[in-house]
Amino acid sequence: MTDELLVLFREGTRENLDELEAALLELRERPTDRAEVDRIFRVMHTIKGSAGMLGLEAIAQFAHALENEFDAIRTGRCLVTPALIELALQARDLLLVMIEEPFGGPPAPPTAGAAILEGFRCQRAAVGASPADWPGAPTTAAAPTAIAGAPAGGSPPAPAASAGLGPLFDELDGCLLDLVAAPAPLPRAAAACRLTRDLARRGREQGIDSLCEFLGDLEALLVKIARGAVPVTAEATALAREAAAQARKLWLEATTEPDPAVEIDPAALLAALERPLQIRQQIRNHLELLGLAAPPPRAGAWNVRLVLVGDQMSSEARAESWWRQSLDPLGQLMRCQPVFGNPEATIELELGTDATPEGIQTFLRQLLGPALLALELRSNHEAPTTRTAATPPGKDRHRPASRPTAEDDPRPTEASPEVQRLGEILLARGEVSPTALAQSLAEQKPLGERLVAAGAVRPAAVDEALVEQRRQREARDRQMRAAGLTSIRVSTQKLDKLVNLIGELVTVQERLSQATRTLLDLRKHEIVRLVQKLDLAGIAEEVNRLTSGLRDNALSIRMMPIESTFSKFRRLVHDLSASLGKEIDLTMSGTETEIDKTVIDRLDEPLVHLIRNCADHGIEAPDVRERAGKPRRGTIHLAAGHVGGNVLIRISDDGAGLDRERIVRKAIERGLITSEASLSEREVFALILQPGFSTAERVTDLSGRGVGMDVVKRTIEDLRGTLEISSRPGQGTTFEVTLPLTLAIIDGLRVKVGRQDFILPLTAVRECVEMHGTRQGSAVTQNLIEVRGSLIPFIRLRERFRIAGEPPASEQVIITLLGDRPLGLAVDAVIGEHKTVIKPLGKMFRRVPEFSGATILGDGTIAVILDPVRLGKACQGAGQPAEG
Amino acid sequence: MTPMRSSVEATPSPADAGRPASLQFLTIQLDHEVFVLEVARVREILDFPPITKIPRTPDFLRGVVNIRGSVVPVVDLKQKFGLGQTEKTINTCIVVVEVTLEGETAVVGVLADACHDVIEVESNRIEPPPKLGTRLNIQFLKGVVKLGETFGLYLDLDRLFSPEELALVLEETDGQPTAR
Repeated sequence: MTDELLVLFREGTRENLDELEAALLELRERPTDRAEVDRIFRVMHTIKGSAGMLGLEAIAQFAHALENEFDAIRTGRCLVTPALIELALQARDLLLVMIEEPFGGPPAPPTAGAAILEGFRCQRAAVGASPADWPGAPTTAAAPTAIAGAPAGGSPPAPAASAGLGPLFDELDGCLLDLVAAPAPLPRAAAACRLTRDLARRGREQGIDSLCEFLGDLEALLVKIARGAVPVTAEATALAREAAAQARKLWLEATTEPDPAVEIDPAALLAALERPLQIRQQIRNHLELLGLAAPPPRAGAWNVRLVLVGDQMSSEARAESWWRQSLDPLGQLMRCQPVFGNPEATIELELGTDATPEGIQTFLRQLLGPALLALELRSNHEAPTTRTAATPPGKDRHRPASRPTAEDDPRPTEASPEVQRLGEILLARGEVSPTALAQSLAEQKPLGERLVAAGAVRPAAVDEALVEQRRQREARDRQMRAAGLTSIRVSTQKLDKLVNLIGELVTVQERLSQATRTLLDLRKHEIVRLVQKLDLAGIAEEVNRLTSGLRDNALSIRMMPIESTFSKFRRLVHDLSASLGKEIDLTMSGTETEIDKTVIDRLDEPLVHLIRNCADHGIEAPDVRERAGKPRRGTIHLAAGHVGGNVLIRISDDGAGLDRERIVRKAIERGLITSEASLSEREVFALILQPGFSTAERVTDLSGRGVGMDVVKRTIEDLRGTLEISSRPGQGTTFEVTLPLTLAIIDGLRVKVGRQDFILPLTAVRECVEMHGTRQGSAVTQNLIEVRGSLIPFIRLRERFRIAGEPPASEQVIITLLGDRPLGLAVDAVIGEHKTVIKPLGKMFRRVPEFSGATILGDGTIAVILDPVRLGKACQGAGQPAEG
Repeated sequence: MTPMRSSVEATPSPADAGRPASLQFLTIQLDHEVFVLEVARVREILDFPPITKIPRTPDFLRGVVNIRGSVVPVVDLKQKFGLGQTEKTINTCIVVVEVTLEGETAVVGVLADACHDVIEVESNRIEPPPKLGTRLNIQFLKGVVKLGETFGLYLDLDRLFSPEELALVLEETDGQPTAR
C-alpha cells in the first residue's frame, strides 16, 4: 500500500517540481511578480504536505524550510535576486533527487540541503534581518535540527557557492541595489560590508591581491554607511555599486585565462588598469568630503539595553552568535546578556564601537524592525543618555507577532491549516489563559480599521479592497473545485494497457468483418440468407463503428499538449546561457499542440540536443552579435503545430547559421565525402547528422564532441519521424522535426506482393494507379509510369524485397510523396483499408529502416508496415551514394 | 498438428539444502545435435506457426510470428550454425526464450527440430566446452552437459544475440545486393 502511495507521491511531486521550476524562471524575469511567488509558495506547501502525510520526514522538513524562505520573499523580507533563484533551482533539483530515494530515506535532509538553506539565510541576512530571522523564531524552531544546527542568520559563504565568487558578488550587488529606497538601509549596508570582507578574504586565499586592496576601500565606505556616519545617498550607493562591479571585473580578469586569440588594445588595457584607482580615489574623496577620511579613535564601549517582543527569544545559544554577526560592522560585541520574559525579553549588550549614539540607534532600529519595543543606550560609566520607545505608532505591541507578515499583509492570505497560530500554540502550552488571549485578540483591530485610524487610507478604499479580496478568494475556490472535477491522474501503464486491449479489439473486429465477407463470398443461397437473417454484416459494421470510436477516444486520452516538454527547456536555456556566457531568450509558440504521450516522453533527449546545439554553436557571444549588428540577446524559438497527420516541431535560432564550407571541409577530412562530390545544400547539412561529426573548433562540456546529432537523428527515426535542417549564414539555423501523431494505431492501406501482405500508412497514399504490362522500355524508362501526362518513378516492391515469383499482368502502383516529389510503389494487388495496430518489430530488425513496424491481420498472420519515405530514401541512397 | 503445445514451468524448484545447486534444462534437437537451454529462460514451446519473412534480412532470421498479439522474431539456429535450413515436420517447434538484447530483455523464438525433456543437472556436472571435437563454433556454448550416453551442448543465448553478433546480422543485411 505504502509503495503505491509512494509512487503517487513521486508522480505528483515531480509535476509540482516542474511547476516550481517554471515559476522560478518566470520569477527571474519578473522579480516583483507576486503571483509567481505565491505559486512557488503553494507548490512548496503541497510538497511539504504530501511528504508529511507519507512520513517522509527529510523531504517534509526541507520543503518546510524552503517554504519559510519563500514566505520571507512573499512578505518582502527577502529580495528576489538572480543568486536566490539559482539557490531555489538547486533546492528544486535536490528535492527531485530526494523523492527518488527508497522509502524511508535518510532521516534528515542531506548536507547539500543544509548548504542551500544556508545560502538562503545569507540572502536574507544580506537584505536585512527581521523578526523571522531570529534565532528561535517559530520558523526556525520548527525546522529540523539538521538545518537549524547550522549557524543562523550569519554570513559564512554558502558551501554551494564555494566554487566561485560569482554568487557572492551577486549577493553584494543585491545588497547595494536600491539601498536608498530600502526600508532598512543600514543592516543592508552592514550585510554588504560583511560580504565585501568575505570576498576580500577569499580573494586573499586565491592570491588576488589587487582585489583585496580594492575591496579594502569599498569596505571602509560600507562600514561608514552601516554605522550611519555616511548618509545613505544616491551618490554613495552609486559609488559603492560601481566599486562592486569593478571588483567583480578584477576578479574575473584575475581568474580567467587571457584569450590569446583576442588582440589586446594597449589603450583599453591602460584604462582598465586606471579605472580601479579612480574609483578608490573617488571613495576616499567621498569620505574626506564628510570629514571621515581618518578613522576616529574608538569612542569606547556602549551599554545597550533592548526590549523586544518576548516570544521570539527562546534560544540564547544561537542568539549570541546572531548578535555578534549582525552587529559586526557596527563594532565589536563584547557581552551579550539576554533576559527572558513574557511578553517582553530584554537583552543587554556591551558594544565597542566608534559610531555615534545616533548611528547605533538607527542601526539597531533598522536591524530589529517592529520587534524592538524599547532601546536604551548608555556610554560605559555614564548615566543613560538615550531612551526611546521603539514601538512604531499604530502597532499594538501585544499583538501576536509570530506571523506578523501574514497578518500585516493587506492582500488575501491563505490560512494554512497545518500551521498553528501563535495564540493556539500558547494556549496549548498553557502559557496564556483563554481569557487573556481573547482579550488580546479583541484589542487587535482588523488591518483596515488600523489603517483608517492612522489616516493612511480612505475608508472607502478599504471597503473596495475587501470586496476585491473576497472576489479573489471566490475565484480561487472556484478554480480549485473545477480543477478537482475535470482531471484525474492515471498511470501511463494503465493507459498503455487500455490502448493495447483496444488494439486487440480492433484486430478481432477486423476478423469479424473478414469472416462475414468470407461467408457472403461463398455465394451459397442458404448461407447468405442466414447471414442476412442474423444481420452479421450489420453487427460487424456496428462493432467497427464502436471500436473506431473507442480507439480514437483512448488515443486522445494519451494526447498531451507539448507544453509540458517545452517548458522544461526554459531551465535548460537558463543554465546554458549562464555556462556559455551568452544571453539567450527562449520563445515558444504552438505549445498547445497535442501529441501522443509515448512520443513526448522520447522527444526530450533529441530536443535537448538540438537546443544545446543552437545555444552552443548557433547563437554567438554577445559582443560578436553586437559587431554583426544584431541585438546582444540571441533568441531560440520553439514552435509546434499539426501538419496533416503529423506534428511539426521547429527549433530555430537567430545565430550565425551553419558554415557550409567548414562542414564540407570537415566531412572531407573525416572521409565522409570525397573532395569532388558536389552536394546540394540539404545534403551538406545532413552531414552534421553523421556519427562523430563536429565542426566546433573546441570541445565544450555541452556539445561539440560529435555525439549527439546522430543520436538525435536515430531517436527521431525510431519515432518514425524525420529531421530537416535549413540554415542561412548570419541569420540562423532551423531544425524541423516531423513526427507521427501516434505510435499506436493508424489507418493503413493493405496491399499484397506475392503471398505477403504489407501495410502503407493511408496518410502517405495519394492515389492508386493500375499499370498494364509496362515491362517494355529501356533501362532508364522501365521504372517510370505515366500518370496524367507526367512521368513518375516507381519502385517495384517484388524486386526490392526479392519476393519470388512473377508479377501479375496488371500491377497496382501506389503514388506517395517523397518530399515534394511523387514516388510510386508497385504491388501485385490492393486489398483495401485496414485499421492498423502498430506493433514494434524490435531491436533485431532496427537496421531495416523501411519497415516501421508490424501488425496482425484478421487471420492472425503478420503484415509488415512500410514507411514509404524511408523506403524511397533508401532506394535513392542506393543510386546516389553521397546521401546514403 | 501435434498436441505438444505445452508450457514449461519457468522457475526451477528450489534446490534442497546440502545438495549442490542444480539447474533445469530443456533438451532440444537441432539436426543430429542435442542442445540444452536453461529452463529459466524458456517461456513456452509452440508448434511451428506461419512465419512472416521480413524482407532484406539474413536467412537465419526466419521472420516474425504472432504470439498472442505480440510480434516475436524467430531465428533458425541450424542456419546460424551452418547445419542447413530447418524444415517443417511433425516435430518441429518454436522454443520461445528470453534473451538480453542490448541491455534489455527481449523475447525470441528459436526453431528446433524437436523438443525432448526437462532434465535436472547439478551445477558441478557442467563441463567447459571442448576445444576440439565439435564442428560447431564453441563461442556460443557455455559448456557441455552429460546426458547418459550422449552430451548436450549448453547454449549461451546472450552471446548468440550479443551486439557483436547482431552487428554481423546487420552487415549481412547491408551486404545484400539491392534489387533494382
